[in-house]
Amino acid sequence: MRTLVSIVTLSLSLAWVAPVGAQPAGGADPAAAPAAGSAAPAAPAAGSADPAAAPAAGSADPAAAPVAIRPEPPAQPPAPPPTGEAPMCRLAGPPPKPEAGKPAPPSQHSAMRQVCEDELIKDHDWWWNLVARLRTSEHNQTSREITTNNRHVVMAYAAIWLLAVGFLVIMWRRQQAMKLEIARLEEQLRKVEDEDAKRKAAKATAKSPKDPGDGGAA
Amino acid sequence: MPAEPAAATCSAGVARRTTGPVGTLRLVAAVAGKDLKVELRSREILYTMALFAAVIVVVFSFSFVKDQKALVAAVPGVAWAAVVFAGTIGLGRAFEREREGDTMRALLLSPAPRLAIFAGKTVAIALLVVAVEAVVLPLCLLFFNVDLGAAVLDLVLVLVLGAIGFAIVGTVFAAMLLRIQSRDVLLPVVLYPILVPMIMSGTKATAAILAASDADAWFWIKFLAAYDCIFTVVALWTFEALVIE
Amino acid sequence: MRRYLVPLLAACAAVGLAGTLYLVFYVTKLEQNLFFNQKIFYWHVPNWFMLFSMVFLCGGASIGYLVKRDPKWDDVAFAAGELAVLFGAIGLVTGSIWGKAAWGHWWIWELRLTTSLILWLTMLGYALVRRFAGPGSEPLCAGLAIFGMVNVPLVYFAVKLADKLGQASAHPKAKVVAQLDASMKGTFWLSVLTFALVCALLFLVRIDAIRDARRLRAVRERGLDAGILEP
Repeated sequence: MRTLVSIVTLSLSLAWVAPVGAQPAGGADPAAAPAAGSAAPAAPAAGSADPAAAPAAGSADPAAAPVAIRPEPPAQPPAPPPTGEAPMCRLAGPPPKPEAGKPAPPSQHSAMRQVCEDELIKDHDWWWNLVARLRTSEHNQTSREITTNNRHVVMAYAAIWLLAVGFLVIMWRRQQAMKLEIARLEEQLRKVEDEDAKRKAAKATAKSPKDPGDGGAA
Repeated sequence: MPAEPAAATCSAGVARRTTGPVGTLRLVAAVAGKDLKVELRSREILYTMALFAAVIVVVFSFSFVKDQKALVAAVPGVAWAAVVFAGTIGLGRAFEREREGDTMRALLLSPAPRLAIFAGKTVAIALLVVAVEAVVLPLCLLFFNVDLGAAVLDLVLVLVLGAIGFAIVGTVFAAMLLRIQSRDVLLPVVLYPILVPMIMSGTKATAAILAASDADAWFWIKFLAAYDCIFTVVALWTFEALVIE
Repeated sequence: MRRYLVPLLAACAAVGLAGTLYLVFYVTKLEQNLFFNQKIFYWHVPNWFMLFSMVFLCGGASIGYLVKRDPKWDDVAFAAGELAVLFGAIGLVTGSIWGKAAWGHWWIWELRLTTSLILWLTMLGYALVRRFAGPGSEPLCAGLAIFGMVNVPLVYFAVKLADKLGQASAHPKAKVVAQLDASMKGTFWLSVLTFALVCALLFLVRIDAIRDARRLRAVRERGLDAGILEP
C-alpha cells in the first residue's frame, strides 16, 4: 500500500508543478522583451530580436542620461585637451570671503558655483573641453582601481585559511579531550587491577596457615 | 474472508476490522481521535498556541507601521511566522505530553501498524495548527486592513496545505527527538530548514492572493501541494526506520 | 598501506595547494570582467563541489545506516556531515566576498546562494544534533540528512520558479563556471583536484577520530557494566 500511495502522490506532484513551471518561462520572456524595447527611445518595435535591441539601447544611452543643464553639442568636434598647463579660468581667483559671523556656505550652494555655471553655459567649447578632460581622468582612475584592486581576493583567501585553521583547532581540542579520557580510564583500570592483585595476595596468605591444619584434622 | 478482530475499537462491543486500507484508516482516526479528546479536555495546547500566535501577529503588526497604518506587504511574512512559531510550540508540547505519560511506548507496542500511528498523530497536529490559523488569519486581516472578499477561500486553502506540510515534517522530527536531550531547542533548529520550501511557497501564494494575481497564486498553491506529497512519501518510507522508541 | 595513506595525502595536498597558488597568481591571465577579483573563483568553486559531494555522501551513508544498522555507515555520515559544514562555511563566506566584488552587495537572494544557505543550515543543525543530542541520536541524524537531501531540489526549484515568475529583483545572476580560457581551465581543474585531496585527507583523519571515540565509549560501557569502572 505504501508503494501505491508513493507512486500516486509523486506523479500528482510532478504533474502539478512541471507544466506550470515551464509556462512562466515562456510567459515572462515576451513580457520582458517589450519592456526592454520600450526603454530605449530609438529602439525598433517590440517584435525585434534581442541582439538588435541591445546595440540600439547602448548607443541611445548617453543621449538619454538625464543631466540638469545641458547645452547642445557643438557643430564641429571639440578642441583636443592642451598638452601643457591649461589656461586658468578668469574667474579662478580666491573665493569671496563669507560675511562676518556667518560660516562659509558649502560648495554646492556657493555664489562662485553659480557664476561658474553661468559662464560655462555661455562658453560651449570650454564646457566640452572640461567634460572631456574630467571624463578621461575619471575613467583612468576607475580602470586603475578595477584592474589592481586585490582587497577582495585577500579577504577571501584569508577567510579560507581562517576557517580551515579554525576547523583543525576544533578537531585538535577534541583529540586532546579524548586523550585525557583515555588516561583517566587507564588510571581507574590500574587502580582496580591493583586492588584485585592485593585481594588475591591476601587470600593466598590467609589460606596457607590453614593447609597443614586441614591435613591434620582428619 | 472474515477479518481478524485485531483490536476492539468501539465501545458497542462489536469488533471492527483493523486490517487493510479501511482498517488502517480506522486506526488513524482512532489515534487522532484519542489525541484530540485528550486535548479537548484541558485545551491547554490550543489556548497557549492561539494566544502565542495572536501575540506574534500583534507585535509584528505594530513593528511594521508606517503613517499609522500597518504595511500590507508584511502580511504574508507575519502570518506564516506566527503559524510556524506557534506550531513548533504546540508540536513540542504535544509530544512532551506523550513522553510524560510514556504513552508513546504503549502506542508503539500495540498491534497497530506504525503507519497508522504516524498518520493519526499527523492528523491531530494538523488540526491543531489549522485551529491556530483560524485565529491568525482574521487577526491579520483586521490589523493590516485587508479586504479580500471571496479570495479568502484561496487563502484558507493555502493555510490548510501549509498546516498539513508542517504536521507531516514536524511529526517525524518531534517523534525522533522524543528520547533526545536538548529536544526543545533542537526541534526548531532541525525543523526550520526543512520547512523552508513550505514557508517560501506559502508566503508567495499569500502575497499573490493579496495582490490579486491568480495565476501566480495557483502556481504556488500547486507547489505547496507538491511539497506536501513529496514529504509524505519520504516520511512514509523512513518513519519506521527512524522512530524506534 | 593504510598507515602511509594520510601522510601521503597530506604531502600531495600541500604540493597541490602551493602549486595552485603559484598558478593562480603568476600564470593565469587576468580575466576581463572582474580582473583581479576573479581569482577568488579558483578557490571558491571547488569548495562548492566538495560541499555537495559531502552532502550526498552523508545522505547516502545515512540511508545505508538505516538499512544495515552498522555503525561504520554512521561514522561515515558523521564525518561527511562535519566536513559539509566546513566547506559550506568557506563557500558561503568566499561567495559573499565575491558578490561584494562583482555586484556590490554582500548578499542577495539569488538561486544558488539561497539553496546553498538552506543546505548549509541543515548540515549545521546536523552537526549540532551530533554534538548535543547524546547517545541514541543516530537515527535522528540519519533522518535529518535524508530529509535535508530531499529538500535541496525543492528549495532550488522554488527559488528558480520564483525568479521566473518575475517576483525577484533584477539583480544579475551569477555565472559561476562560464566559458573559461585554456590556462584558466587547467588551473581550475587542478584546484578541484587539490581540494578533493584536502577533503579526502580531512575525512580520513576525522573518521579515525570518530571511530576511536566510538570504541572508547564501547569500552567504557563494558567497564561500567562489569562494575570495574565508576561512572
